[in-house]
Amino acid sequence: MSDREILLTALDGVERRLRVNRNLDVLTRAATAILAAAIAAVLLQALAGPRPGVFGLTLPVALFVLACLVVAGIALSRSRARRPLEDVAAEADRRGGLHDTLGSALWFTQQGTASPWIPLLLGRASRLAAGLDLVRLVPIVVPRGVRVVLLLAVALAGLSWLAPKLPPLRDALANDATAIKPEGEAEQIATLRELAEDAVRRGDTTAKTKLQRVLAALERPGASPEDKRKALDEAREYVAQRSFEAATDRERLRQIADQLGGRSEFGEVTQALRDGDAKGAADALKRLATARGESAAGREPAAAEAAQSPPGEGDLATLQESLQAVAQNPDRNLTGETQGKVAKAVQNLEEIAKRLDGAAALNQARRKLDAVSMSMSRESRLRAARFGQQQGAPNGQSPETGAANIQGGTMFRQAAVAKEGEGQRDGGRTGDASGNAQGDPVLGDEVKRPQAKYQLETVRSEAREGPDAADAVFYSASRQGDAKTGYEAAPQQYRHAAEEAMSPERIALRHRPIVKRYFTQLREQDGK
Amino acid sequence: MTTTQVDRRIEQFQNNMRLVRTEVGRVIVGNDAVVDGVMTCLLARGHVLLEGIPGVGKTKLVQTLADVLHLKFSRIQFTPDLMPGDIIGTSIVREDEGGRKYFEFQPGPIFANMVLADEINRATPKTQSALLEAMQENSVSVGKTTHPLQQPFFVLATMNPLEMEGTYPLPEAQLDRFFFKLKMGFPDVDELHEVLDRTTQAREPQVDRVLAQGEILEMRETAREVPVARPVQDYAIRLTLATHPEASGAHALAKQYVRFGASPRGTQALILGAKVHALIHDRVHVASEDVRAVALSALRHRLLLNFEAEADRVDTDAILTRIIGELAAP
Repeated sequence: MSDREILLTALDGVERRLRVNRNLDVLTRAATAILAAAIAAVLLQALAGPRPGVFGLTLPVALFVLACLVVAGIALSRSRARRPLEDVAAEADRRGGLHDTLGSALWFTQQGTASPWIPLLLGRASRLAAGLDLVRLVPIVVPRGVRVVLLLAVALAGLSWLAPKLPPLRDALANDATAIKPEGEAEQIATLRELAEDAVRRGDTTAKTKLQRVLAALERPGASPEDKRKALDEAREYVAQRSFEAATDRERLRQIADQLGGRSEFGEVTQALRDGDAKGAADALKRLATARGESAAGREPAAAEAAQSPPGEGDLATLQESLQAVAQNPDRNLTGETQGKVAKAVQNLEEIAKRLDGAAALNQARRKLDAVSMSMSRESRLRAARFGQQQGAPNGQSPETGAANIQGGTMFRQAAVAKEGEGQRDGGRTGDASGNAQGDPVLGDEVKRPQAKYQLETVRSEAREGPDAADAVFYSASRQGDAKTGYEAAPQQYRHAAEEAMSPERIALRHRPIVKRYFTQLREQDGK
Repeated sequence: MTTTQVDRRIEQFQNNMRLVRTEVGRVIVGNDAVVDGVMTCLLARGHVLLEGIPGVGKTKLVQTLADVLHLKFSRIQFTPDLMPGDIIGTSIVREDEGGRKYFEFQPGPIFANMVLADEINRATPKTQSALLEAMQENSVSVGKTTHPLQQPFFVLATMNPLEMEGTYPLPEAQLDRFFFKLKMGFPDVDELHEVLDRTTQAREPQVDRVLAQGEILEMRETAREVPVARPVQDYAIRLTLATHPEASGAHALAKQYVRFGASPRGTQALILGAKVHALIHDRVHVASEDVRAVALSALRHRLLLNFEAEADRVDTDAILTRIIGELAAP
């Protein structure tokens, strides 16, 4: 075996052991990554629940498998890569304290330099290489990362044990999440449909029409969020109107109750009216009529009178009139005419009660509409944010000052201040628009200076006479700006410059006091 | 040349070095690194600048070395009134037997193998230049005649760093001509005892001449033949470039404190010095360790510091030590 072969064989052995160490390190890192991915997958699985993902696997499991494949690929490619022999020789020289003997010998063998010194060097290098104790030179070292791997394995085992106990938490989170997930929208639509059917049952045709229009807009395939939003807004407006009407009805009922006064026999009716309970008031009035001896003879004219008025009108004025007529009747027993008034009042009250019930149901519908609207607004939040960014971006053109592309935005505020009346101006300070003011004395907020610096420019008006003959004063971009050199660097540069200027004197700094003293002494001697 | 001959020459080289060290060690106490540095300069065909406070043995070291090496030695005490002719010699008018007059060149003290330029910074720049020209060209021109200097030609200049008044510090360009700048430190207590024991008795120790002129020239040739692998050479280049503030591989301290970095002559000194160092330490190739060992001596006088370094009292040794410590070896 030649010296060269001995050297290369020894370096191969060193390279193998170095590769083992490196592979152990790579394996440890891979295990760390895989265990971390497994922990993440277990957590995701526990929190998200089993849902079909890719190739029939749940999403966390699919991600875990993907992570494993990526890590295994990287680890495999790294473990297969061999280190260059030059690096191996340098590493062996370093570890063995061989004074670059192996590295130099390897380099000269590759160069084929003809010199009697090279065989000598190769001979020494081969003797050193043959005597290398590879086990001591490159010991197999367990990577430090193994501790992390063990910790992660323990954590994974703990999580696997804990995972079955997590579903309650998951369900709680899932229930909460339905409010914001798109799936929640379908649920809300179903509720709206029920309310629409309820409106049909109650005979509330207007509400039915409105709700069905919203439903049609929400369920129409390909409906844009804008269309949905419009339908929702329309429905919400209608519900708000109905709520307002209901509130007005309750207020009128309270006023009627006040007008009935403190008559004891109308106590229940009055109380029910004050509470806004039209149904209760109707029942109380019925009971009152029964107590006053409603005769069979009086029923027929009463029913006839009630039948004369259009049913379902629910006119509060009629109700007020009827109740006052009943209240002012001095007879203990109700006459046929009075009974008719009572019957009409009862009928009106029942109509009002129906309207109030409808309004209450619509209020419930409005909450559902709000939920749907909220889910839609979350969906479009990203677009809204982007819109906001576009709005906030500097616009190259300033409406007042022309093309002023200044960092920090155009001077819209300056323009706004200029358009304000004199009395409305914020202290009349010209510096406010650019942030030069110290602070607003009323609001107390400190005005932050913008990044860009401005300088005041005054343009003389061409028309020197007349009401428009004012100078145009505005802030333009200044040539001043942030310092390009830091404070610490500036004195240093100055010193360099000073040194450059003084160097022609060829007198070192430490000698200058001596030279100065020398000449000072000479001067003193001359003076003597 | 065969491998056996190379082996023999290496052995001879190391024997000679051992003899020189032993003989010099009889007179000079301590300062082994300085002795090795001076020998390295001699064998690398360079010149050395010795710096040290008065009385630490600079002149004694050079005298001892001259005695040991069996070389023609001359000493020039540099003073402000020393003229170039006092160093290189002058032409005088002579008369032959026929009564005809002619000029004859009388060689100055520079015509020796080993020249001790004591307190070189006390002479004027003109006189300094006369010496430095001889150092660079290995020849002296007087009138129209160029007189070659006998080899080995070796200049040891000493410089006192304390008494700067009335001196002419060497310009950077002339400092660059010196292969090494060696600093002689103050001896410790044990060494001072030894110095006193040797020099305060009736008879001072004597040295033998152990090396002849031919042997020194052969050692010089041997040193030049030591091979250098490219990675080690690359390390020496990176080390040099690290001292250049404008270079891409410049060290942070160099950027802060250095005005001009080491010259290519500095890199040559690194490699040649490393070759001698490798042979002294029984290596047949130059290792990065050899480069590191000579880096301080080879580069410390080749760095020109800026005003900030002077203000912060940072010297070249501190900068180089940091660079050597932090530069990645091959």
